[in-house]
Amino acid sequence: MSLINEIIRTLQNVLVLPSFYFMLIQSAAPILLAALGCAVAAKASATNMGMEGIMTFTALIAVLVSSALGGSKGNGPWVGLVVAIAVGALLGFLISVFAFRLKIDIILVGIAMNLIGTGASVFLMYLLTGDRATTTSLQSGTLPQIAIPFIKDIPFLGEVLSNHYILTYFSYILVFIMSFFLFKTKLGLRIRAVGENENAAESVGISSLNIKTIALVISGAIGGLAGAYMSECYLAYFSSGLIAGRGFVGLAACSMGSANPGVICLCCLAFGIFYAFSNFATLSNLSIYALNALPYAVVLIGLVIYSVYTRKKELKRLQGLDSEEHSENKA
Amino acid sequence: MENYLVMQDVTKIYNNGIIANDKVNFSAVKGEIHAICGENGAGKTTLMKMLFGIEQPDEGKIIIKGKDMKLNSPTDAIKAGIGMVHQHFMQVPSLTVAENVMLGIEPTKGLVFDMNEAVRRTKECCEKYGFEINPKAEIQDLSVGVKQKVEIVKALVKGCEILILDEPTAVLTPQETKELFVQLKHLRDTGCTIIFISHKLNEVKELCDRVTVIKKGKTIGVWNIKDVTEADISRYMVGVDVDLNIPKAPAQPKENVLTVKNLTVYNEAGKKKVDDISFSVRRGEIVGIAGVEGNGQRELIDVITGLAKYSHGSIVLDGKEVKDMEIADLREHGMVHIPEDRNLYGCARTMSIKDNMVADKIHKDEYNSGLFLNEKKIKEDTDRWVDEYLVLCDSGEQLVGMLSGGNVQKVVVAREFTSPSKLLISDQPTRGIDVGAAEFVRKKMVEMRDAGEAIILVSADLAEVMSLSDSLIVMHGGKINGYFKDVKSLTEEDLGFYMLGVKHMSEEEIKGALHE
Amino acid sequence: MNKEKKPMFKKLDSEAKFSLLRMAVAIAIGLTLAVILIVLSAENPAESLKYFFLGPLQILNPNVAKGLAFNYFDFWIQSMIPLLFTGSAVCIMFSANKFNLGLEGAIMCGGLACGWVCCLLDGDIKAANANPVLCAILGLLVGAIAGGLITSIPALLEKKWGASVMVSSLMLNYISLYISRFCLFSTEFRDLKTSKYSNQWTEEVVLTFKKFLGTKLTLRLGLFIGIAVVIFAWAFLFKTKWGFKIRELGHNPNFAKYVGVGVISMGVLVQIIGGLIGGLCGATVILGNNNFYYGVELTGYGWDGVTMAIFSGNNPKKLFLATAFIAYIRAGALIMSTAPGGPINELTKIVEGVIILFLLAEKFLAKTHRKMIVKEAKEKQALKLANEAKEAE
Repeated sequence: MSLINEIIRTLQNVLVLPSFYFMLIQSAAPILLAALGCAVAAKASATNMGMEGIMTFTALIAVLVSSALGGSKGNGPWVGLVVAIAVGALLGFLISVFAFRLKIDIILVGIAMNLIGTGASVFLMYLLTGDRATTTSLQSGTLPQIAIPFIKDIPFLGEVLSNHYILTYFSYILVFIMSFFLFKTKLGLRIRAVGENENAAESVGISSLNIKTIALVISGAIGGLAGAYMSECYLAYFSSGLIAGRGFVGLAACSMGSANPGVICLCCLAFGIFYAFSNFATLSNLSIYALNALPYAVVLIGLVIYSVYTRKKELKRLQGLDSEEHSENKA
Repeated sequence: MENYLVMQDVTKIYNNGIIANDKVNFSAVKGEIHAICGENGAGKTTLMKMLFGIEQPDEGKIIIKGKDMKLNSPTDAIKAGIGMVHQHFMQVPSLTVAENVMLGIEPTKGLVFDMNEAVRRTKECCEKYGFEINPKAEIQDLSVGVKQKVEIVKALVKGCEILILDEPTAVLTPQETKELFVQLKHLRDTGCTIIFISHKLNEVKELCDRVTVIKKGKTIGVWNIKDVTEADISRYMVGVDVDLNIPKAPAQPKENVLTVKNLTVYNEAGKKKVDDISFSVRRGEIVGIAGVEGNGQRELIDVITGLAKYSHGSIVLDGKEVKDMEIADLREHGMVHIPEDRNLYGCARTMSIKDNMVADKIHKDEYNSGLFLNEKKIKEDTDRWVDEYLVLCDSGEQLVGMLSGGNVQKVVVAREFTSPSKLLISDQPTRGIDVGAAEFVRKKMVEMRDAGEAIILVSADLAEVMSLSDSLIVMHGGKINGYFKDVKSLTEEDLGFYMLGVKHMSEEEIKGALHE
Repeated sequence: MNKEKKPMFKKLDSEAKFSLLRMAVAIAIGLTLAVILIVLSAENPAESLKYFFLGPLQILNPNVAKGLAFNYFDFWIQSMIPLLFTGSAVCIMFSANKFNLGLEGAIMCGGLACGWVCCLLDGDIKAANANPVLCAILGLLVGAIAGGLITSIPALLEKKWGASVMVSSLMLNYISLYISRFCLFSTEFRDLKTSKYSNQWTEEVVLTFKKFLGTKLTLRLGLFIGIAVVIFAWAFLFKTKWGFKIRELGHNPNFAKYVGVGVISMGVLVQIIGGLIGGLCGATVILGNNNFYYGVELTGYGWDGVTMAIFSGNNPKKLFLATAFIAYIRAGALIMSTAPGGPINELTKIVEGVIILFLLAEKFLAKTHRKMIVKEAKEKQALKLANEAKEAE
């Protein structure tokens, strides 16, 4: 009982803090990006297991390019971001080549990509900086933070919503862009068609191979964005453990949201709530380590709920067809 | 229009050496509904696949509107004005009707898919040809009948003038079929040519203008529908070329091994596939089940062998109801099964012959010594079976995937026949294998029968069903349409009539299938 | 029928020859890449290459060995231990086509549970109420069970509700990690003096005998347990009826169902076995090095297991060679990287990833494959004709 009381007490303390909500938004953003990246691939029925590796490698690339161009003083971070996106797209393309042209199970390609991505980033970092752990010596800088006019002056809300990094805002805007892309554009339509019924797409002259490749390139590019976010917004440097499973969480959030950007966003925010909460738990007597497990547990529970839900829906659909059939037979 | 659509001396040989089409000739004129009839495996679908660019002919010409055409892909065929409605619909379930219809030719505004335009064009096409479909509905919420209409609209919207329908009524209810026919006739009147592939002769008679009959990859002839009766068409389609001449003594049936009573089976989508049937199989007899594919044999065999579950009626194997039995229990109870698709179910192609042969008996004490497998015994037995069943291979260690179809089937047969059993379900036991292997399998089945096994034989090869079975059940529309106590008295012509639903037996006669 | 004398060596058919060729080419590509990376990044490439390729063996040369601060031969052997376990576990799970990636978590929890048991019993051992050997065995057992519990969760979630095994097992890895950190930092398990590790337990429980029998060698019992696990995995998969059914399931699930394998329960079983081995791995690693628990980061051994399973083609028999190879290049890379001016050892990860890709690529070398098949077919045909001619005579 005392544990529950303690949790309630902590919640009461934490939920009134604007900085809690600020952190929620900030910590959900990279996972959201990763999940949106996985979603494009998932819509084309490809699992981008390599998201973790793509993010790790591109996070380093962003930092290296940025520092080479003088960091925050010049356009460093911006160029770093663009290069990271390009490299991410290239890695996505490589995954598609190995998976679809050389016919390897895409999950195993992803696992190999994670190995290569993490290995190559540490290798490069050591080669170029002589440091094994972080690039703090590089002064790579961050992307700008933006104070939103008017909103920044609203008490509480201003503290929550204003002064985020520009990419944080973009992450949430990307939810709408991705919804639009997947559900309103011709390419999005084709991606979904290929993902659901490859034969149907092929029968009307759409090359499923090309569409899948495009989907993975886009997925990789968004992965690059997520990587750059981690090293140019979330932190101002790269370290070997920087990504820390965010790619995997993104993959989980994606499969939980049935690759639907809106639902994915909600999943990521739920993750963010518990993530931020666990970080604010220093205010309480609760164990921060136990709380740290909470966001992952939430994703797991969400996954189960989602599975039960889809199974029920599928059953209902079949039963619906069934009853329709029977009524027709009677008629 | 002399040369509206002509397929001239078209030959297609598949990689496995099967000649699917042998100098087939087919032609259609503008504005007719032309039926193609033939038994399973006669080569109808192959012919249409070539017309739709999915397969390419090895020899022969395809002429459309007087022009010699090379159709290398469906895209080419679509450009040439050909549309095809496949048996399995080519649709994306979560997309709307309009999106499905416009897939591949999407209207756009810039990069954006123009939904309004798609809906407008779909609607326009539907109205023009008299289809009532809501363009904004999602495919997954539609009934099969409507899905099929969507499939037709998909072809029409791309400007199709020649429409191929591959067994379109197989999935429809009678009401939906009626509606479809009204629309097809309407389509014909607007100048569209429709090629209608079907087994259902009453439908062919009702709907079509002309009929081409194909048998064993060859054209038998073309008739105006007015000039032929259903019985005629049936006679042209069905024909037993050779008497298989299998030496066998008259059956000596004993007690029932399998009793099926009032069995009704629904498929996953809830469609009734087996409709209240009853029959039994006795020790020492081979009961054949004949029928045009898709008339419930598949579902019947699936529930008897435990691959699918049923909820209505009962199946009793050797005195035990099998409803809640797992396949392992069924096998323990003496059921063995040669599956229809030997590559999907019958074997693991990437495992060795030896492993495939012992797969169903690996848990038995004789093949285990303590915790471990008794490899010596396994090797001895499988080596013996390889010899006994004449499997042509380097050794029992060879992967099954390296064998020819006939030898794979021998491996399957060896496995199933060497397990002690009471009931053998033999589903297309000789499909696609060479003559020698087929003869061997048949001989083994007769041997099994004489040793007191109850055998169910399902085969699309009518010669086989007729010469191997002792008694015969004909299925049509999920029901038993005929039961012949003695196959010898049955003519192939008559069998065709019952299979195609031209003739029906009385309920009293059909009750004879169940021996009490 | 075949009464001919068996040839001394089994003549390889084209399939086996081709898979050998592909493996050789893949490894050659990987090692070439390693050489390129080393040459590009090392201050003294020749020396670095020497360390990389020969380093782990240099301990055998006493002159060199004296100069080294660390026993690299021992490191090589030590690196093999977790690979043997996780390779076996993944071989078993992948044989049934179950992509349970929860080994990381199983290892974590296995180590944790084992450490906990040792701490609990430590008082008794010191008071001579408990036998340290029994304590170690109990620790290993409890560790294995804890691992099995972890991987059984995704398996059961899939069985009951159809939740994706891959995704739920990934999440469980992180949950396991934080459970471990929680136990280590927020409970009485924690050692207040160091505040980094758990309470210590008596050295007698540790599974490593340093300076074995007065020699310089270190005897690691973990190696023997690992070898035993590999042998178990091999015997289980290839010598028992259960393993047979598991492989059937992996080769063709429809076929497995048709011959009467309980497909769903078998799927759960392999994941539990995989987890048991993973847990045992965690326990062995913890007991093998120190007398305290220190799991604050994921080990990465679970992912290594996937690498090893791919290398060995899901056949545990080949794990010995595969683990020896991977552990060797890792040890070599470590030696190279500790030398001044040497490249970082992480480059082995790149090499491993690249080798995996080329090992798996079906279409890679497809033309050569085709040629080999055609050649074999022609040879067979010629042989057949020759035999027929002989018979005709």
